[in-house]
Amino acid sequence: MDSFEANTQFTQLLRELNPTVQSLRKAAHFAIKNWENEDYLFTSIMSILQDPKIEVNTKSTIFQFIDILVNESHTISSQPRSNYSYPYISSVKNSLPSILLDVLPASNNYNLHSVFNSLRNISRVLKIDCQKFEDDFSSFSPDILDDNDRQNIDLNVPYPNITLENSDSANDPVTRTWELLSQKRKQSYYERLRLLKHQKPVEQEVKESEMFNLRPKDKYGPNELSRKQILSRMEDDRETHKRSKENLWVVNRPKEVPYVTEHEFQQYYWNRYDSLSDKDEKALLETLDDFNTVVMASYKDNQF
Amino acid sequence: MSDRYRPPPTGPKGKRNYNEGSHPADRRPRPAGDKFTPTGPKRFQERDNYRPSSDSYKSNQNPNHSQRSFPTGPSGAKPSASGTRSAPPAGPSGYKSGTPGAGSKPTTTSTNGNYYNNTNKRHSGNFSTAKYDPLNKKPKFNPGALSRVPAVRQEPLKIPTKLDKNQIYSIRTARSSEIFQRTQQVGEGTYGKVYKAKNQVTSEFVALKRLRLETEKEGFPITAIREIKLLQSFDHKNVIGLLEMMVEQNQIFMIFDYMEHDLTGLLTHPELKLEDCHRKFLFKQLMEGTDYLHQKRIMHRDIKGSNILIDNIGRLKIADFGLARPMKIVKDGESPDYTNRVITIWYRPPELLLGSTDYGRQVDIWGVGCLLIELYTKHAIFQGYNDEVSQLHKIFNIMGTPTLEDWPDIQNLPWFEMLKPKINKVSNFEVLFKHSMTEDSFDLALKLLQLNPNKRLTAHQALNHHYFTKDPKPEPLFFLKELKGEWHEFETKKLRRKERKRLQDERERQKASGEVPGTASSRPNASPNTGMRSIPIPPSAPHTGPQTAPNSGGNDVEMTDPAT
Repeated sequence: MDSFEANTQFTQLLRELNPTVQSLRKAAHFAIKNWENEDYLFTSIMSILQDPKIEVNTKSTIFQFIDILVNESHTISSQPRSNYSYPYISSVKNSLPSILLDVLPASNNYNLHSVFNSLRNISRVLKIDCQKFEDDFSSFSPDILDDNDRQNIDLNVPYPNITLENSDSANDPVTRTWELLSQKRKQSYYERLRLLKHQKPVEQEVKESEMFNLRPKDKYGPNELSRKQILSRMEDDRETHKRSKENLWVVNRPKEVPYVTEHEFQQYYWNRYDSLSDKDEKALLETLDDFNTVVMASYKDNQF
Repeated sequence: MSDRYRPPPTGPKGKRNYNEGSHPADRRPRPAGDKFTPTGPKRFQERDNYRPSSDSYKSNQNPNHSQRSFPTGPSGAKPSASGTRSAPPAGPSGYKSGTPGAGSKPTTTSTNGNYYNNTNKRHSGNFSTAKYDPLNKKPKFNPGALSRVPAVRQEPLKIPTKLDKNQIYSIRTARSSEIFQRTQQVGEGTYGKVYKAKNQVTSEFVALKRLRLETEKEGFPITAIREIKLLQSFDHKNVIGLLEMMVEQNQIFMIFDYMEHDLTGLLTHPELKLEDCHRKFLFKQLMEGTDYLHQKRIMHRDIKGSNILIDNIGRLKIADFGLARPMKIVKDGESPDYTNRVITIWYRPPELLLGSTDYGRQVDIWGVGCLLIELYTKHAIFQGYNDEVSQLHKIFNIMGTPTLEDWPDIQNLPWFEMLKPKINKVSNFEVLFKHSMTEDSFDLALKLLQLNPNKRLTAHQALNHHYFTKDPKPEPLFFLKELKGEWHEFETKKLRRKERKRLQDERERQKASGEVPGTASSRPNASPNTGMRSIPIPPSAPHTGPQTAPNSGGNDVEMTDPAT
């Protein structure tokens, strides 16, 4: 397949992408198979993301595709006697900050959560420690705003636009992406506070369109979601969530060891559990006691 | 469990002699009254006649400790046979004495070969007729039965560790009629159908929940296994218990106690008048059932009126555990990662509508809070139009949009960015509901219906609320006995559908004749065929039940059309 043909086919695949495993894998495998045309194919990923007509939902799906692509490329290449040498990984890695800004355009953060999930997966594959960012993201602290921000909220100033300059260019691109993501999160919190502070409380009943940011049917805008799109997005997210559970059980065990390694034991079993608290232990013993009573009662003859 | 069940003999597994025919029970004489004649192939006859003898089991409890710690020596291979009353006259001496010493070779060893040969004969011969004649009081001497002993001795490696196939315990009934006579259908959902049925032997009514297996491509549904497992573990007066499972003509039934009403059905009754003491009686039980489940770390995940069953004096049981699950134990900071596609949408709390996968027992509390309101108003409080956007809109319109103090970390929910309110709506809850409730019940409802799950009361805290301690005291609903009919959501919905169709027909007729519409809807009882059980339809709020959670007790085959 020549590069032009590969490019056309790939663009078609990306435009028709839907967030099912089959669809995402198919596109990823196509890209990996045509790794010789990486330059062309990667450019078409980027140009689709920058296309002003593409919807935010599709952008989220493409980000998931990038997650899968990195993952598959890594898995395939790390197999013994593999003919692949980690295609796409370095180009994705280097463009990750700008990809993030495309997927989370302006103050529109619909994709915040799904991007977080994918970015976490990517960082794990690339073995970049992002635990700090992850913890920050999933916990909540009002301290992410400084005094300056609070002043601006009081003055009802919108949050400044986030650009590539908002991250430290000396850092690793993945870390930069995390920095940008944290900014995005901060932005969304800032905007929420601003709204709570400056919007007058409404007493009477309001319509759906007055309560939520819903794109009216007749108005076109790729960066806003209609009610229908929100609902289909929810279904897609549920699908993604289901998919993420599919390989929970997978354990990375080196091929040459047929037994449970110490590392595996520690990571997957031992460290997963804390020692029982007194309360839990008591509950456990009570449950066992109940169970014993039930078993005893199930015999017709006296047991002891 | 049938009377025929007896625990297996004790002793090390390998020594239990589960070989067919070797068990003492097989040589036990049949009592004269036992006229059961098995039919079918010989294999079945053998199986059906299998009766582990409780007598010999008990006699095995003798202080002979060698039984439990038998050496692997050949003579020790028959512990359970010791002391059996049907020991044959020509048995081996060591075997008969019941005290096989460790390592002492029994005198019969030399005859082993002969017995062994007999075994083969037995298998090919008329063994079963001779041995299993139910009318024969005295045991016949059957060398074949004994022969297993030496057989085991000779081949100690072949000791089976499992029951033989023909010894797997099962009951083969020869009833000409079904034990449970189905009278009517009382429920339907994605899981299958629920019938009311009468036990022909005890004349008691039960509910049969038939599992729908036709649509299952991958065998017995794992969700049903989860449900059965949970149901088996319950022991509380306000939680439904599984009486038994039944397999009949390739259909699988779960059998429960029959309850005359469910909460949704009952509340649609036009003449039902609940006093505050009755509501308290019902709600206290609901709270206690919920507390029991939550103490056991079980989330019900489908709390709604039609899953709350009520008998004819108002005793209440929580039912339908098709979506329930025990809570995972996770470390701090880890997400248990549950699915958010649970709970019928009208009763779904805001955190689930916003896509949380890290929720807890509080999701049930929201539903219980909705039901408390429903006990007073008879209508579901948040009646969205079957999707998340509309449902959340309904909730925010009544409860107000969450403020920063209310719910600071709503921010972390996956779909919050998509469904971020762009206005600040204040709560109308008090205006709408305080006047129709008592002060205490309103206060409790307010605390149960907190938008922020972490601010909702737990079931245990709710039980300590002063609503339950203050007067009036809870009273059973004895008047339900006088109530005509049985009220389940299933039937009332069917009636309502009929009624709606009737009204529509009437309207069309009026339109055709040029009359002014709207007069007919005020006379819903006019229909002669619905009679006592006709239901007035509020023109604005059709209480037909919302979109149910998938794979659950989706009692809604027909969805409400918001336009009607």
